Order: sequence, then structure tokens, then C-alpha cells
Amino acid sequence: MADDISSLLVELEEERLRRSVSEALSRGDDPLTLVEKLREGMGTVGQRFEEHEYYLSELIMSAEIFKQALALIEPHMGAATGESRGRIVIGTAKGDIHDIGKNIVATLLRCKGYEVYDLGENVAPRLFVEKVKETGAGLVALSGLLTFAFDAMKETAEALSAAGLRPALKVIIGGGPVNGTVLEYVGADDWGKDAARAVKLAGRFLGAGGT
Amino acid sequence: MDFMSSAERIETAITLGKPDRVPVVPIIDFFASHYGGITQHEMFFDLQKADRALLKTMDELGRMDGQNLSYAGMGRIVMLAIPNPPVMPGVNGAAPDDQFQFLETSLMQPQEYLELIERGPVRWMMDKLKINHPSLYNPLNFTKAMATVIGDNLKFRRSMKRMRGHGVESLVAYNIVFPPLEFLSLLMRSFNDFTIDLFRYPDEVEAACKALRGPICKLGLQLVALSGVKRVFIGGTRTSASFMSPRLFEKFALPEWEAVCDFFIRRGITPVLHFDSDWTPFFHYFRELPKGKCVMNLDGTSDIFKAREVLGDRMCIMGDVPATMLKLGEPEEVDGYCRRLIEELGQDGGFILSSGCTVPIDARPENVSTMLHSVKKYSK
Repeated sequence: MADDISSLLVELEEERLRRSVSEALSRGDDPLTLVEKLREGMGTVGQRFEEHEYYLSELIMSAEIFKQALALIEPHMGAATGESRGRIVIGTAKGDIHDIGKNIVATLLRCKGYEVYDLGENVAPRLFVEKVKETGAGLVALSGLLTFAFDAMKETAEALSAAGLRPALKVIIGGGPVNGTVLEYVGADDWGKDAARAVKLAGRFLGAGGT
Repeated sequence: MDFMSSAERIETAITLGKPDRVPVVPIIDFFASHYGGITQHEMFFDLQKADRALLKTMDELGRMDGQNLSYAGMGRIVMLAIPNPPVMPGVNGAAPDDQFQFLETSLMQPQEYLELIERGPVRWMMDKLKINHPSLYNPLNFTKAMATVIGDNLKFRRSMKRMRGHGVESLVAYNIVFPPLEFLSLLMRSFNDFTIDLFRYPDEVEAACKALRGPICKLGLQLVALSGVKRVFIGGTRTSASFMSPRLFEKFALPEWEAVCDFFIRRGITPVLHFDSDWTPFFHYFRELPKGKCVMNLDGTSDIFKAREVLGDRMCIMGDVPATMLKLGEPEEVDGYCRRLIEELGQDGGFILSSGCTVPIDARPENVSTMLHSVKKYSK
């Protein structure tokens, strides 16, 4: 039945998945196993995205279904919340309020089991520094769609270095116009062209195996 | 040696002919205002200052045949006509040189797709407009707002005439429309919510979009009448392959794109399909549009060389010197890319060189100059 949950998520069968999860919980199935199956499903969705079988639309819908299913399971989990795969601070760089890409990346990272601290949009460099210090995050993910954001990303990367957090802390960047040239300009550790790539980078830098 | 006027050059390229050289028609207001020494706020609200800044930019960096989409002087209309007012430089606490940006918030709930149909799309839109513009409930204020829209459009016409005197055509004037799906996603429902709606409420979304189609097309027609420019900017981002699967595109978006383009083409108006993000997997869908009647304007994310291969015999291709290159690249890189565009896409006509999508405020002036000069340097 748990396998069924994974495949229902992959096929974006929202109602059927909801019923299956409810039935499994009523039977007393282990909630953590159910969450793990959902994560497996998200992994398959990520693979399909990389193979161009699925597009962003399917990625967003799968994440929504995942969140709904998780909301059903969480009250049954008690103290057992599953192991965190690492802590990540994410935000859109100062001066830029675009949030579509940032939100999708944050959602997918959460689906993969990371603790994600989303600082929102138009985030000043010092706020990233403060949040990393507060949470002990191992990765900062910076997003931006405007060319202005490149400068803010660079300032943020430099502020994290000046605070003595790098190189142990890794910094990744993404957003529509971001490419290798921007990576070099910003001085981050890597860049991603889409959300699936961001999950892979998190896996690489936090040692938890990406999608 | 140039022997065509800017207008002839652009029109020849649009109808798939070979002009005397490739025309260059960037989106340049954000950059030109900065370079010309005025704030972004002044560019949006003072058309004469914006025109002077553009002329200074051209005098110092190079001539252009036209402007693609222009924001100059649009501040009042943008703040009035957009239901969810964007970040506007110098307004509502934004600094005068802040970057203009749309807000990504939902102004409607899923059940309102059917309300839109029951209430009637125009009345429903007015209701939505009044949420953030409550003063419009007062008929006197509403009349003043309409007078502002018409008055500013007359100013646009005078500005276009002035700039035409300097050899700068307006490609689409202020004739800006978005197909219903794009409109709902960009301005009413937020991208994430809207995408989920496509799965959960497909029939409702489809019906609402059908209802909106007529009013949106008619609005475009009125804008064309006001500006006198028989081309219309039709914005596309959120129905691209960066966001939407082919299955969803075929079901929801393709019928809209076909219907909206057909509406304008049948009235002798050229749709300029302004496509941001990646449309490469969807190029083939646009082969069915009438030959030589549309422009496909790409932003540097789609594969423009593939566009030429798939669509070059059907419509004019326009683009796409990337914003990142204009900011961070070296002039040699810009020169090489423009040369490739002009030689590979423009050698037989049917190509317009442009920025992809906007020349950024903080572009390097020498890169902008290189782009503008490349059309004379490499056109054969």
C-alpha cells in the first residue's frame, strides 16, 4: 500500500492519494514510512522533470500534493519527525522581489527532508549572516531575476565570508539570468538553472544525496 | 549604406523581406533613463525628460531604428490600470531609482472563476480594480482616471511623433495585452496558485479564460486606435515551457494564442509575441499562424537559432542579446554574439536585433554601444 502512495504522488492523483494516506493511517501504518514513500515519489517526479517528461507545472502540483499528504500524516507522528538532512537558508537577494523560483526550490528542499529557513524577498546580506549564525545552516541559496540581484548576491557572499562562515558554509545561486558568468562574478560555490538542480546541489554540499 | 527609413526597415523585416540592413529595436527605457541622468521615477512620469534621456543615449552610444516596448510616461496608467499595483519607483515608499517589478500575490480565489463569468468579465475586472483603487468607486474620480488614461495616450502620440523625427519608430507603442491565461497568472492569481488551479479546476479556468478573451482583444483594439500604431505587444511567459507542460499548453494556452493572434491579424494588426523564458519546445505550435503576419520576440532564454530553423519561413524573429551579457560581458563577447545573430538569422531578412528582454539599468554602456553599432557593421 505504501508503494501505492509513492506512485499516486508521481501520477498527481491528489484525491486518491489523500484517501490512501488516510486509510494507511487508520490501519496504523508507520507514519515515518509513509513520509519516506512520499519523498520517494518526489524523487521520481524530480527525475521525470530532469528527463523533460514533467515540467514545472507538474513539479508544483506534486509539491502541493506532498504538502497536503504531509499535513494528514503529521498529527500521527508524535515526537518522531524524521531525521533532518541539513539546514538551508534561502532568500531572494536584496533589491529583487521575484519569488516564484525561490519558493519552488524551498518547497522541493523541504520535500526532500531539509530544514529550510526562507527569509523571503529583498533580503539584505546581514540578514543571511544572522540567520546562518542562528541556525547553523550549512548552505545558503540565493535567488534573483534582475541584474541588480547579481550585485546583492555578491555582497551577500562577501558578507558571509567576512563573518568567517565560509568556506565551511556553501553558497549556491539561481534565477532566470544566472549562469556561469554570474557565478564567477558573485563568487558563490555553484549555480543551478532550475529547481531540480538546486536539490542536487543541496545533496552534494550537505552530503545527503540529491534527487 | 542605409537607404530605407527606420519604418520601412522594420516593416520589411516583419513581412519577411530583406531590408537594407538588420534593424535594431531594443527595450531600452530603464537603461536610457539611468544613462541619460534621470531617475526611474522621472522616466515613468515625465515623458519629455525620458525622451531627452533617450536622445542623449543615442547621440553618445549609437542610433536605433525603434524602441520595442516602452515604459516612458506610463507611470500613471500602470498605477491605475493594474489591479495589483506593482513596485513603482518613487511611489508608495519605493526609492526613485528602484526597479519596477510586479508583485506575486493572489487577488482572487478559485471560486471566482465562475463568478467572473456570472458577473461578466468587464464588471468583474472593475470590481477587482477597485480593491486596490477604492477611489474609483466615486464616479468623479473614475472620470478623472479615464481622462488621465486618454490624456497620457495623447502625450504618447506626441512623443512618438517627436522620436519619429529622430528616426526612432515605436514598435508596439503602448498597445500591450496579455492572453487570459497569462493575465490571470501574472496579475490576478499568482503563478503558484494558478498552476495548481489548472489541475484542480481545469473547467473553471478554461471557461473564465474564454470569457475574458473578447474583452482583452477589444482593449487591445482600443489601444491600437489610441496610439495609431498597428502592432500589438502580446506578452507570454507563464504559458512557456519553462512553466507549463506541452499537455497543459495544448489544452489551455494554444487555443488562446491562436484566437488572440487571429483576432488582431484579421484586423490588419501585427502581433508581436513577446516571449520571455523558454519557448523552444513550443515553437512548432506557432507554424500555423499566417505567414509574415507576426513577430516572435525572444529574451535570450529560448534558443533563437532553433526559432529561425522552425519558424523562420513563417514569421519575423526578434531578439535576443541577453541582459546578463549586457551587464557582465565584455564588448568583444557582445560583438561576437550580435555578429552571429545578424549573420545567421538576418542574412535573408526576417530578423530584428533586440535586447533580451530589457537592456538592464546597470548594463555597461560600451556593451549597449556595441549592440547598437553591430547592425551597420555586420549586415550584408
